Amino acid sequence: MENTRENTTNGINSEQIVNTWINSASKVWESIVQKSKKNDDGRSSASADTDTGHESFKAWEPAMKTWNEFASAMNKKEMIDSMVEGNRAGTENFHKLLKSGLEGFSFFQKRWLESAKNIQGIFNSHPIENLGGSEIFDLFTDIYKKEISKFFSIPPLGLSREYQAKIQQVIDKSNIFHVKLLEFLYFLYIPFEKSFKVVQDSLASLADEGTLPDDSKQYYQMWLKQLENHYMSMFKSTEYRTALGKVVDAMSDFMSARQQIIQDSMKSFGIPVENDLDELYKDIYTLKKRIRSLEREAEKKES
Amino acid sequence: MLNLSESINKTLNNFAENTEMMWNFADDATDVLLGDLDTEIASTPYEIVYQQDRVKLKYYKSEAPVKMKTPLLVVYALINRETMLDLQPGRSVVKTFLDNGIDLYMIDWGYPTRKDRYMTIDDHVNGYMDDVVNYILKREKVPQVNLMGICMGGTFCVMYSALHADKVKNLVTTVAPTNFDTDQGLLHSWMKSVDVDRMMDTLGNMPGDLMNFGFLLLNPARLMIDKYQSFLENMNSRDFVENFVRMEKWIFDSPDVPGETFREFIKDFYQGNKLINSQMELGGKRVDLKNLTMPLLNIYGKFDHLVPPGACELLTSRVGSTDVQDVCIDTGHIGIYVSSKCQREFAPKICSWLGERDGNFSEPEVSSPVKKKTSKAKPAALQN
Repeated sequence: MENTRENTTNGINSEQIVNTWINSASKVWESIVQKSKKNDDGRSSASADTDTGHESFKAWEPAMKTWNEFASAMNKKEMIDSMVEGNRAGTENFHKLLKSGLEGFSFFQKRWLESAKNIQGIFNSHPIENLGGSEIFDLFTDIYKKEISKFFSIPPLGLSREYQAKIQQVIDKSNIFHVKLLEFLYFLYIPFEKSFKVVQDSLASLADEGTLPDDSKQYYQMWLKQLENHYMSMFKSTEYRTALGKVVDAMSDFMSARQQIIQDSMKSFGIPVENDLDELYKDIYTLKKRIRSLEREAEKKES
Repeated sequence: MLNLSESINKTLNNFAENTEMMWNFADDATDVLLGDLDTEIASTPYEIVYQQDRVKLKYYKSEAPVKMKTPLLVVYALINRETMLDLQPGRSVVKTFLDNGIDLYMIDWGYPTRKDRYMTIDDHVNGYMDDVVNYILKREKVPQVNLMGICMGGTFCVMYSALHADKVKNLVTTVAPTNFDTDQGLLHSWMKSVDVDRMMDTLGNMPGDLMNFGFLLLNPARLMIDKYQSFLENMNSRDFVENFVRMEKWIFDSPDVPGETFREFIKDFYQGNKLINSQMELGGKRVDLKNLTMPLLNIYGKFDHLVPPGACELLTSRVGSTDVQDVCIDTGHIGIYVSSKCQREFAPKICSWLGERDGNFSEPEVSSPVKKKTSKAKPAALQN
């Protein structure tokens, strides 16, 4: 009576449910077995050795017998009680698992917070308001390399590790390229900002003097000349040359990493990739050169 | 001169007055842009007389009554196309040469593809160029050709003439870089900080569009803003629009440069400056500029931002020839070939210089649409 009350949750008797389910499952499988046996007896004389259906049924027969034995055992009251008891223990285990999972998550969260703290530390040592122009890109690059890039360097494992590594490379190189590109575009924007300011200052002083030009084209020419001068002086600077070199290098790295993935996917379709073609081109180039050299030697001998 | 409020008032008044004019302008511009435009380039007839791989040899036959004995071979750069020499009838260096009795051959380098990525400078100079010269010598039954090189093609011609001096009668270099150790041009400075190996290993060939973007960056204010502002201002002029579009067609018709050639050009020339110091090696042979014993005419632009005077003017002092001449024209890299002013100076100067050394010297002619204006031009206009 006590057991029965314990096994009843919200008015549903779990013992009855398990009983019903096991009985009905057993009946289904019994009927399948009986049916198959009848069919088997009917056909046995006609095709004894070659009937693959029969063979495959035989392969399943032990499994069905095991199921029947298992179902009979499960149908016993003691077994059902122990299952319910097992459920309680399972809940406790689940709690343990959840606890350790949360502790693990909390550990990683702590690590991420440390990374975030490091990033904040870098920002604190370089207050944004003190960062002039391109320094913000250097700072971001620094943060990216120290705190973010390492996640793309986690060694991948298993059969597909090569492909995972290549995907990680593309993401990493793409991020670096886009930062360098932004920095380069920022450099190209600087002369606009400076020339507008110079022109505005000039106009203000011309307005004070009452000597503003009356032709709008003169304003345009004034700005254009300033823009050109600022570009020219910037183009000669070491900072610009460095930024140019970096963006070209980053572009090359990104394109190269992307090409690796494209080549892998093309290979899976059986399409020749650039590396294959390059090898072929190299062979053709060498052969043509050799033929030309032989032709010239032959011409010399003839003449 | 006005103060601020007067200026604003005047601008508003002008704006109101000009509104009708603006509508007329827009109407005319629409007619021009929607009408039939003649924007064909390289329209002078020619014949392809020789072809090897992607490289073709164009032959322009002169119909002039008096012809020069020695044919002229023009070698253009691998960057952009030789069509620039025949941009339009009134501004055609090709036409001027033909009018002056020069039988003209011109190398069309074609459009290199990925399969050309291993082609080196040696393949272009000792390979294609030498084969072309041999073909012309055989076809014309002459012992030598006159050689004219443009930009990078000029650099190729200098190397070719040093290695095959016996086949070159006269050498003309135009805006041809030979000294790369100069701080006058931005390219010379930028190319020193480029990792060309990494670029070429990735790209295979140097894409024409990427190079064009680099050239535009040399002067964005003029080439990316002012140029198109000027187009907007003159859209109602058919002539202006036609010429503008012709130039656009030429500028953005940029073949890729074979990877190995580009790599060598940057490393050996821009970064190593080997040519002017006679340290360059091609096909296992040293390119000694003292071997340049033929007459040399060296033309360059005073305001050339791609190949500045500093990159050109040293050449004549390093060669073995005693018959050398430097000509600096008050123009830029492209203007030297296409501006109306230079049409009266540049090509006629080459014709008369070659004529003097060919034994058929006569007053040079220029192509018909600018003939009247050019007859007044004097060689003294050139700065020697």
